[in-house]
Parts: sequence; structure tokens; C-alpha cells
Amino acid sequence: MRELSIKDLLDLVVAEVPDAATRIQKMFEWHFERVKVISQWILGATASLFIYILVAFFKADLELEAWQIILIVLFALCTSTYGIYLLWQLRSLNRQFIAALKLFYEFKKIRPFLIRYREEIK
Amino acid sequence: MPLAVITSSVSIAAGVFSVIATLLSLILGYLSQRDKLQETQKQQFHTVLESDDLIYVGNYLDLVIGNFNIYEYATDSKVSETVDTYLEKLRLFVGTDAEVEQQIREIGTPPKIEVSPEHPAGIDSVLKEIASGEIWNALARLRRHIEITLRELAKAKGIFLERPSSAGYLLNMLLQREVIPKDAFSNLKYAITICNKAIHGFEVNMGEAKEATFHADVGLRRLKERPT
Repeated sequence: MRELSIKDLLDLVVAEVPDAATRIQKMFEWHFERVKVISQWILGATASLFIYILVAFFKADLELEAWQIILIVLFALCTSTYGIYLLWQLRSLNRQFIAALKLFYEFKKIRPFLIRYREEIK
Repeated sequence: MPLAVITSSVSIAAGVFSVIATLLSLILGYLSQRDKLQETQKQQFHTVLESDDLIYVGNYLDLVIGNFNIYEYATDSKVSETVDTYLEKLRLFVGTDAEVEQQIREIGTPPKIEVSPEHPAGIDSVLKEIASGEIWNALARLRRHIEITLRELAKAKGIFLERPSSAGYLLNMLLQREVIPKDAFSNLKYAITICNKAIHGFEVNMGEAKEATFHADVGLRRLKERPT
């Protein structure tokens, strides 16, 4: 999750947000759902286009030039690759979630130092 | 051209734009990650942790290490190695709540000492810093001063240190090897514990900070006066 920086975790520790670990989990769940829905839309759109072209092709009522068909198929392939890439990205989300929790608990061990530092720079 | 094909083409074109945007963001992400790694290398951690300046140590965590995002940390081994190494060193430098609380319980009442009217330059500058209200940094400086003295003593005694050791570790090791007398050990142990307490971020008042500095002064004098 590119939106969540290590500094954000430091801020969470310093602010002593109640139930912070659950909030981090919620953030990852939202992110997971969002990416999943986008990739489903993209894959669904490209699949329906492929089906449309195939059906039209076999019914022999496709009124497109060969280059137009190739272009559409290429675009559809490109877009479906993006959808698959998004799904593939989801695979590392569990690892990112565990990494975020690990860092959060590491920072909690030095919380008084972090608070003192933030007070000093104010 | 049928409407379905036009609609699909438009949605595919939108998809292609998003692919281009993703590729651009990947390239920019890679470049920014490279810049952040270069920044960490520019300011090496050992220089940061040996600076005596706790604001500098905190700044490095906040502005250099804090810049990495979780995706970079979880997926790039160079980033995770850099962050983990710094955090491990920082944790040793600052100590955890449990470690510092245990040290405070162990020291109990400080041994009685006679405060000398004059102090060497290192101690004098710490006392001046405490008087100006900079207790946090002053005690970090004091701990560093003790650590350097103990390291030099170990070196003079031909004791080889495999890795950079903390002031507390050096003190215990030198006592076990009978390099330092017990009274100097007690004074320095008290001073180091109060320094650790302050560096960790726990409250240390001016009186406590001055007392720790006096103990450090007495302990270091006793080291100098010990029979060789």
C-alpha cells in the first residue's frame, strides 16, 4: 500500500490512537476491496468485449476491418493484463499488512522517545 | 460501427490510459525509492546514532526512514534491510520500556558521594547544558562520554570488542574482568541508568540529571585514580 508511509505509523504510535492495529487492518481491507473491484471491472469489460467479437465473428456479421479487430484485441489484451497485474498486486497485500503491524509494534517499544522527540521539535 | 463496439473501445481506451498511468507511477515510484535509499546512505546510521544529538536521531527516523512506504518496505529487500538495521540500532540506543524500567528498579538508592567543586571539561559542558534546560540531550552526551572512556579503558587493557557495545554492557564486562573497582562501577551504573531513562523519553528532572552527572564525574575520577 503506497499510501501508507512509515511516518504515518510513527504518527499513529505517538497519537496513541485507540485500537490502532484494528484500524490498520481496516485500511488494508478497504484497499483490498477497492483494488479487487477495479480489477474485476477491468477483466469483466475486456471479457465481454472478447465474447462480443467472437460471437460476431462466428455469426459472420462483424462489420469491421481486420486492422480494427486487431487493434481492439490488442487494447483488450493490454487492459486485461492491467487487471491481472492488479490482482497479482493483491498477493503482496498480506505481506504488507504484516510488515505494517510489525513496524507499528516496534515503534510502540520506543514510544516515549518518539513523544519526547516530537515535543522537542515543536 | 455498432454502438457496442464504440462503447467497448472507449472503455478500453480508458483502460489503456490507466495502464500508462500505472507504468508512469511505477517508474516514478522506482525513482523516488532510489532517491530515498540514496538519502539513507548519505547520512549513515552510525554517524546519526553517534551524534549525541537526539533531535538528529529523531529527524533521521522521521524524515529519512519515515519517507518509505509500506509497499516499498514489504516488497524491496534493500529498503527492508535499511529500515530494519536502523530500527534495531535505534532500539538498542533508546532501549525498550521493559529494559529501562528494569534498570531503574535494579539501581535502587544511589550511593553517597562528595561533589567536587571543579569538574573536567566534558562534565562541565554537560552541567551547563542541564542548567539551560537541555536535559535530554545533555544526558545523551554524558552517556556517550562514559561510553568512550570505558571503550578506551577496554582497549588499553587489550580487551577486543567484536561489535559496538553499549555503555552498560561495557561497564558490566569491565567489572567482571576486574578492570574497574566496585565503587566506580556503582557510580557509573547509576549515571548510565539515569541517562538511559532520559534517552528513552521518561521524565528526568534537573536535580536527578545533575546527580547523575556528579556520579559520572566521581566514577570517572575513580577510574583514573585506580592502581594500574
